Amino acid sequence: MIRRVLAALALAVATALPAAAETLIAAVSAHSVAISSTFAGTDLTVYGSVERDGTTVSRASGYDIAVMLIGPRRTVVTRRKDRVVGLWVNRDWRTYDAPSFYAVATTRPFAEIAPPQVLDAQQIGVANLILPEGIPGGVEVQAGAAEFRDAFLALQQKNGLYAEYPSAVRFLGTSLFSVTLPIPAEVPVGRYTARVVLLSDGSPLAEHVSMIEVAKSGFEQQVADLAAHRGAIYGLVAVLIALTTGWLGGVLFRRD
Amino acid sequence: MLLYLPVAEWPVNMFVIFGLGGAVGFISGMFGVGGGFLLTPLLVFSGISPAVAVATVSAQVVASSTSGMLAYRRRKAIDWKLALWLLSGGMIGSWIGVQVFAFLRTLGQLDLVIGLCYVVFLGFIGGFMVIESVGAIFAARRETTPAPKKLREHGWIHRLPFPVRFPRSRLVISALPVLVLGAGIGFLGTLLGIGGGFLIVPAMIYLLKVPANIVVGTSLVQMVATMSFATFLQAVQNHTVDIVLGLLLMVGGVIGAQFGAQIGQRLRGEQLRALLGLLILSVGLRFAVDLVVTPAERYTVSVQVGGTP
Repeated sequence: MIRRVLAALALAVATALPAAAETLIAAVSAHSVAISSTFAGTDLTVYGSVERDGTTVSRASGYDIAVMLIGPRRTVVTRRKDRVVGLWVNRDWRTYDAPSFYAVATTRPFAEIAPPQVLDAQQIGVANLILPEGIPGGVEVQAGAAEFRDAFLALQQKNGLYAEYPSAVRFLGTSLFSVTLPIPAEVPVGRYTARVVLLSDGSPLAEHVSMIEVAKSGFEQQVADLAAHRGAIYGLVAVLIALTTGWLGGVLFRRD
Repeated sequence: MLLYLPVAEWPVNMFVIFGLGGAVGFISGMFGVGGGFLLTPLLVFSGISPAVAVATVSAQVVASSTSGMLAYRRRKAIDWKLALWLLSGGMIGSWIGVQVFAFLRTLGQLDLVIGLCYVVFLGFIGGFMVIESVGAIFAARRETTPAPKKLREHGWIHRLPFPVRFPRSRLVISALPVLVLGAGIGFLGTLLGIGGGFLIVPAMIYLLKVPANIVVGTSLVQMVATMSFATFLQAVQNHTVDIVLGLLLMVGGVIGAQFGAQIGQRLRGEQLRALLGLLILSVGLRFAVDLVVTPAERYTVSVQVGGTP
């Protein structure tokens, strides 16, 4: 796994160095997403332009843009149920150090933009995500892991946490581009990075990274903070609310 | 209308949750039970993590038991001394329950244990209630009253050491079975997110021989105290009580219970017991099916908690 990461990094450095004179300018429509009590998901627009000057070589194949919105990494456990004496029980598991959210949008289908090694190095596409894996007992075994990895990626996509939007990035004219990515209501909180990569002829030319903070706001944040950091006070308040609600119900609907 | 739950970190339809609380409240008012055994599974099916569902329902049980407890207090149908002994055991059981809950969560076997417990306890109690009440319905048809049971019959439980006098129940029994019963209900209630009324009421009648008119009020006191304690412990240790979710369920439940109680008064005791028995049995069977039938999705993903997955 470490070898794979290193190889990917080396490739990223090697392909990024001979960057031509294009400059990538990009911005996001919001640097923070506030989750309030009525939060039902939102949209994030990423836009930018490919700047050229007189010395820039002309590129016959044109430009491609890949936009990725990546959530904070978390350790998640993927468990598999197996039949034990007639019952379906969680047995084997793998842990993945994986982004909690990942959405990617591109100008064309991934395979047409760049060769697999470049997609891998640039982390374009759910299947190309680098996921350090932990296994029971801590011994690294490669065989059989693909099954867990595939199941994990499929579940994340089913739950709306990983998403691919090939051909969603639109060029307006020759240099301006924009894409709108949906952010679902189930979005995990934390610091996100929006990465824009400019490619041409299968090679990355430039990239731009912006930070986006996804956080609970107002009442939601206060309740969550209290629950997480002041458990005793929160617990007492919860019990008091329960007792009061029950008492009020008894008084309002008194039957005897 | 979507409402984002701050602790569950999950958006829910406010009216669906409110309706869920109301429907379970209706059933709980009709049969005089807490309804936690229905509410916890329903919340899990609607996408809320089992950890949050179990902890939040314990707060809901506090609310639904409080209004009942106050009604029984006005009728003076509570044995406070017995309740105190039961809830002392209940708090110990509840504390153990929270520890086991946290441990099973790190093992990834929480849903298995919850499922098995639901199958065993709900299947057993539900089956017993159905058989007993159907027998009673047929006996009533034949108009032959069953031989009255001797309520003061003293079994082995009443020969245990450390006798304690409970004047309100006109009972002298050993402290041990009272404490063990309280602890057992507190443990299961905390672990499974249920009040345990359907477990403790028959146990008090058949094992401790507590007079029937005092049983329900006394068990409600025990439930209010034990579940308050469980709510507090879950909030301190597991941080999984979602008070916004809880409040929706409580308000829906308190309102639903009023309508359920009116329907319940029109039905006969054995009919009610037969219906409740069927309901409990079917929830137990639902869990049994989940454990036995090949799942559509064999894999699950969860954020790692604690040190080991």
